[in-house]
Amino acid sequence: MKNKALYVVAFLIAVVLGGAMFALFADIGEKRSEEKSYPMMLHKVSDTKPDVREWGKNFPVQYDSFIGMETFNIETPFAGSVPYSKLIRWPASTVFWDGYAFSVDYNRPRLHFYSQIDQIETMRNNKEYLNSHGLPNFKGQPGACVNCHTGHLTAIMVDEDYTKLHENPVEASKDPMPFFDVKGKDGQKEKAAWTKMNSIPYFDVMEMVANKHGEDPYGGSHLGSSCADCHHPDDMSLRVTRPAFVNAMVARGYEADAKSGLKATRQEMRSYVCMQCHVEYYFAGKDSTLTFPWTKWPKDEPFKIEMFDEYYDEMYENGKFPQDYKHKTTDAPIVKMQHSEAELSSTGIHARSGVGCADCHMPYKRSGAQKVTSHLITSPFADITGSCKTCHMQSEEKLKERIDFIQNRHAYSLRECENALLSLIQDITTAREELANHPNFASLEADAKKAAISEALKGSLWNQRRAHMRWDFAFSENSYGFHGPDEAARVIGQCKEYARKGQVELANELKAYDIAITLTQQADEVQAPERIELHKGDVGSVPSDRLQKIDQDVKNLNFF
Amino acid sequence: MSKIIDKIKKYPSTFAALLLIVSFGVVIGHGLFTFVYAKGFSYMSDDPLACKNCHVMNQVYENWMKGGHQQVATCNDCHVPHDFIGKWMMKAESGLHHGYAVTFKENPVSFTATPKSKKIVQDNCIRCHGDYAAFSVDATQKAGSSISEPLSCISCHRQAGHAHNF
Repeated sequence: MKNKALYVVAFLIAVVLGGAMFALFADIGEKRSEEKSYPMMLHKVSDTKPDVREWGKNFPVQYDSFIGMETFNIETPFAGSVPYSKLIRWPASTVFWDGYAFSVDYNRPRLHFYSQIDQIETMRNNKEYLNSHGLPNFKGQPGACVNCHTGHLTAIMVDEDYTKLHENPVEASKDPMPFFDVKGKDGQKEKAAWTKMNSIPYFDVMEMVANKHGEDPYGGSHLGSSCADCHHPDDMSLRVTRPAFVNAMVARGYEADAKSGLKATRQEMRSYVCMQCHVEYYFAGKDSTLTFPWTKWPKDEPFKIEMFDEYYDEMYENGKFPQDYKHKTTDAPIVKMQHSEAELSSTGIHARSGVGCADCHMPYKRSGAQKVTSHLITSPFADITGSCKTCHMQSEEKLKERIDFIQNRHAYSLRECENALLSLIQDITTAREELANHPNFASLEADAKKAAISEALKGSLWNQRRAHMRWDFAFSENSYGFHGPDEAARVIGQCKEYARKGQVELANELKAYDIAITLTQQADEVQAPERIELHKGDVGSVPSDRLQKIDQDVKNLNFF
Repeated sequence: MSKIIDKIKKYPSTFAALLLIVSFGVVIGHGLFTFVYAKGFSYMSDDPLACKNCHVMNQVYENWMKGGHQQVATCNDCHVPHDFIGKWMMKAESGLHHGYAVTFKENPVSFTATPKSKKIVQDNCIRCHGDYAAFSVDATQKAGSSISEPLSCISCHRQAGHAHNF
């Protein structure tokens, strides 16, 4: 009997060992075959089918990480993908953007899965909301906004079904545009569609997509970035698809290419695909042609902020693009800087060492025995080992400290620059009131009075424009200084300089009318706006306690 | 058929013993096969190809192939102690750890050396280069400093073995 139990136990041990041995054998075999296999595009895809589910069938691992962006939330000290209201966190911006839609609603964007959804939902795109919140003349965003937010852009240009866009071309379609011109006759049709798309209202374009593909975020009108934005459907090679980027790059001396948009190495492409949207841009002319102001930025050189001054000064002089908006209280002609990642990062040590955007934002991962580029595009904070430690030997903790070191300093200087610019705006406001009562202006009609006072204060308003561009460049750039700490520090330094110079200029200008005002050193605190309740979920939410503490620490110089 | 069943009933313990022997035979046979299939014997050698059996070592191997030490030192020269007991204890321990990690864990692209591994590498630098380098290596900060790690040879000569991943 004792023997029997022993036999049973021994037998069971043999069964478990046998099972384990087989599992090990199978695992080794599986990893070996994974190593040998490479993706094959068995499932045919094309430019007219941007549905990411279809493309993903060929690349299930990449697709899974891409779709991960739908639910991935990360809060980093100054950025991340939690869509809190930046206006509530840093309310000074509402004063700087006064008279422009950004002063009403501006949130941290979510990840690329939401690039279209965020755009559709923001109040900046809501005509009625803006009309009732201080912007009565706002008519709605143009189709040019669609460029970077839809995964359908190439389809919109090449698909014959969008007949409304191909017929009756607008005037801008006659301009030379290397992105299209390099493609010969086909390109001309695409150019007609693209220039028309820029000029018609934003929601008209999205409606065309919705009528054809529905409204879902995987293949319909709510689709944000898609595989087709960066990959060629024939062989998945990298390409750029945004016409404005190629046009701007050719103007800088690079060469257009019919298949990949621009002639470039693979490593260059790993940045170019990002740079086709993460830039400063504006809408040129009556057809709202999307344009990058890069003609003063020489080929292969790091960017300098003065290159924008030179460009936009010229545009002001020739009247082609005097400003994005006139500041509501001061009447200064303001150029709004967008998210100039391409420009600032070109000055950073990473880009200058040949590190591409994808190296840090799409780190390599292991999936079984395969090395795969992560398509969950996000902050390197999410995976410091994958993003940083490929090159840097230090521990994760040390590397995180380095990022904090740069960003905290940037934040501190940026708050000082905000105080200086607020002071200038406050003083110009006072000056305008004083001048309005001055005999030279008192008797004029409202509009003529406004124009005459603006003329009298021309110098200080120009300083506001300069200082604003620098604040906005440093504020709206997504890395909070990290992409190019040295240039960012230089730009913020100039912001303060221009703002204070503006006050000096103002005092001199007022002297001509025998008016003296006390110049502001410490501006009044700006109240945070109310949370907008129309948003869904966390969009436009109040920044978390953790972020508010970081801001307090920065303010009190409480950082390492 | 019924004859066999009768025999089993007659000698149950002999049958149980037989079944047990066959079972363990299968396990051992399968085990040996898996060992050979997984190139188990290569791990007894000093051949870098043994390290490259595992896919996570491919990049490091490629780096080493292009590096300055390729003609004079293999993986084991730097990464394994050189006394007999130390070497085989290390191999056994690493074998278990690595086997576990490759089978059950998702491994990162970049690795970080453990303090133990760093010490072995440092000892091995000195083993070959001690004649002229021994005096310079201890001249720096003390180990355990809160600001930074003490300098080791690879603090500066980072690419001596392979460019990254240490």
